[in-house]
Amino acid sequence: MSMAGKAAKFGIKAALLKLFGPILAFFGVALLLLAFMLFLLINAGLSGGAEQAESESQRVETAGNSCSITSEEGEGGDAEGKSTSVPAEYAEDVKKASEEAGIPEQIIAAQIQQESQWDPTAGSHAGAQGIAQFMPATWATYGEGGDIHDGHDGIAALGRYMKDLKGQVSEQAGDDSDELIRLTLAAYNAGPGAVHQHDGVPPYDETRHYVETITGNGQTKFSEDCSPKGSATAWDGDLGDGEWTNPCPGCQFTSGYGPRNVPGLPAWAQNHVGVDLATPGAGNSNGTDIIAPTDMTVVGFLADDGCVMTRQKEGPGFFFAFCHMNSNEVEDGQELKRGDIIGVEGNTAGGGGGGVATHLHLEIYDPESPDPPMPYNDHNIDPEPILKEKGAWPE
Amino acid sequence: MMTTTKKMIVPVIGLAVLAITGCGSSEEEASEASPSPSEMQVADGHCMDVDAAHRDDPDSVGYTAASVMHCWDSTMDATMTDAALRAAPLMSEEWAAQQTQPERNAIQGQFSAAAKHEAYSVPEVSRTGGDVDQNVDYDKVARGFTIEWEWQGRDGETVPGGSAQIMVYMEMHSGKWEVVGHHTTTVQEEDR
Repeated sequence: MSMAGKAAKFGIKAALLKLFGPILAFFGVALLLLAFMLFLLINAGLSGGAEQAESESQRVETAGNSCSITSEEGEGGDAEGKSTSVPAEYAEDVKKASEEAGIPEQIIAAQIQQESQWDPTAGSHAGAQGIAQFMPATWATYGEGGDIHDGHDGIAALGRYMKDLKGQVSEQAGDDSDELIRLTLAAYNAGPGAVHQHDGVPPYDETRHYVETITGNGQTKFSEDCSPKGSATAWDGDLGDGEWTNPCPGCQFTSGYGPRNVPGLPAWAQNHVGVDLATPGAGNSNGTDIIAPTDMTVVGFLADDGCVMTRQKEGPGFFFAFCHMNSNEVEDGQELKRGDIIGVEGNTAGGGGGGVATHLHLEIYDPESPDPPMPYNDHNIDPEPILKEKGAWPE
Repeated sequence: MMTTTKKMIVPVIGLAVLAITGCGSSEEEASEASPSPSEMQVADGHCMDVDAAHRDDPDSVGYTAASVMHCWDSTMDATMTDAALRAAPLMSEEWAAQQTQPERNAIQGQFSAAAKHEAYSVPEVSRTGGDVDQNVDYDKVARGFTIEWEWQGRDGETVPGGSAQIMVYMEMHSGKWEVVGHHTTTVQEEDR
């Protein structure tokens, strides 16, 4: 190539460089900036994920003992007032009392709600005083010189008292941690002597109510994000992810679950092992559509009582019975999605219509139930706290 | 007689009983001084009277028992069971003997809030829907009742109460129905 040729080629290169250089430089800088931003984003994402994972880890870890509770300044209380919050000024006290007693935080919170509705000035006809309603003699032992009308002192004393009571009934509870909570609450209400005398929760209607209310509220009012604790249900495992759908839209709760194995009740007294939900005013006519609360498979029928039996597809694999329906729209083995119609609320019982007032009798069975489940097969668990926790309880 | 009693308001009945028994204005006029606690009537006499139950009618016996068992006076009752003890005349001897007071009140928070107004509960009883009622035999029945109550303060204020559902088991002996068992299936307290 001649010099002139080289010069010409150089000139072209120079011209091209002059023309495209700034453009290339611009794109180069832009590329670097883009890479830098991508790096920041990935880094932030990883960091956020790590924080989230850590937060989740903490939640799961605490769920094993105490679950998270919500204070009025924290998250969790919903606008519809479904959950009850711990007053912010007492959140730390409840946490400390929980640690002192070895009792879940939501149980302590529900207990204080029941005892005084968080009113440190509360008093009673019987002489109990303060936020945890201590009798003066008991306060003398557990108050440690504090002020019985000081909410912080009262909650601290409650932690000490519950710890003591727990120790007194631990033998009756054996290795069952849920039973230990039940018995400790029963001892708080009826006295540890009564728990010893009856070798369990005393057969007093009021005491049984106290235990069930505290354990139930502990789950549904103070820890809606947590697994069931205490004895709100016989099921103490994971309920699985996600929400369910109300199986009886527009219905009202009319009757609760409860084996009537109360000492003293006559042998013929019935046993109600499901919950009843009914359309108001339906009388003996057809009620509303009965809806699959979650994804499930039809596993059987009990025609005389208008029952359709199903099994939950996802964990934990509960069985269900939807009873007294006047008609159903499903077949054996059919797979139902959440929200699918199972049948029509009715009054079919004992082989015909009109045996009962129109309602849905809903049973839930543990995953170990025979397949298909039959009503009253000793594998029943209380549907109420499960439906509440899954957001499927009638308003 | 197997009548069905639907949603009767207890205070009305209580007032009617007061009118019939003559426990009304004349006594109020006779004494202007505040009565001592021992002279005070539970809920100023507004609780349903166990004698108002028609003993040949299990619905009436169950209804009355359900009402009496949820009529409390925050100035006089230490526990919920105090009211159950007042319903003992409607119970069999065995079941009455089972009514044991715990050391503490299961709904103490509600009682304490009511006590600030010297309030008594005003229960409204209705039959529970669904299939809870059972005619087990000619002399054995189970009845479900739903009770809603609020507290009426003696200062004129009202205090939120709650609701409960109970099963009442009854047997007939010597021509009279009596409560041989009851079981609270659910209690809900109104949020304050």
